[in-house]
Amino acid sequence: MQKSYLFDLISVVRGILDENELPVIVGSQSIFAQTEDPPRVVRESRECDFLLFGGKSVERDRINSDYGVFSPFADEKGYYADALGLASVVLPTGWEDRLIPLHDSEGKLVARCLDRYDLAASKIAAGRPKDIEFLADAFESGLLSVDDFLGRALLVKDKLENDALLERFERLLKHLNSSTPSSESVNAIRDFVKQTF
Amino acid sequence: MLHRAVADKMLTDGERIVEKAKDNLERWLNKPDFTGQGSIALEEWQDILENLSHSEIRKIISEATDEGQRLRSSSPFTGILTQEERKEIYDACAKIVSV
Repeated sequence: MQKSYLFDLISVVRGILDENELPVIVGSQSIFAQTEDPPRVVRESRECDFLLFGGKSVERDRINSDYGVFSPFADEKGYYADALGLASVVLPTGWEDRLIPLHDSEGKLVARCLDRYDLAASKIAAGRPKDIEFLADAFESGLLSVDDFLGRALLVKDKLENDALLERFERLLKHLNSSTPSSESVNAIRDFVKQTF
Repeated sequence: MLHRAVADKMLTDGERIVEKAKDNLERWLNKPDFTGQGSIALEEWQDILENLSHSEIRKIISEATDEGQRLRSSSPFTGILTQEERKEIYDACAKIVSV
């Protein structure tokens, strides 16, 4: 997704929220608050995840209906919003206090995004192929420090079922091993897995 | 569940659905911003729609595999389900979540 598409989605979502309420972006697109050069999977993605919580189910339904997957908006534009509740995403403790402001091209605050390490922790908690690819790309480009990522990942450990996070880390190691088998990243993650699980 | 509904529709209206998906891809790929990395997944779908049978496409969009999930995240099957059908599915999902 291009950043301009993200701003378009933010604009339509803000039309549904209360006048002064800023959308909270929790998926891959939240990385745009901290870099202009996101991992490849972010560019390829056509969806943006918005987190609506605190009794916002009506607004959530409206966003998904009007701007969600397979909506007329998505049909016309080729990209769409996915409005989620807190039950649909695993986030590290304290994420609300670390949200990063996202400004438009005129410098106006338009949304708040997950901090990149909170995003990374939610990615390892989800563990889908696109999440693993995001992490691998971000380590390789230097967007994420492995040490800081591992520290943040501990904050989701108790939010998953037994061994689920270990299984996600094994997927990540498998992916990293196929491209950079003896890198410092792989060694650090391997040590973390041994000590943590 | 939305994709499963599309897969079900393909059983009786496969030709039209595949043509609509192809039209969507062509339309989106003609937009200037859908070039480069943004177009890779769409081009992958073009290849799938050109070369796979309806039954293989149905399998891709309805199976719970990592590969199916990856492809569905860039799905070209917009304009197939009506707003009413989408609402019914969202309502059904909401009931499952709240049970």
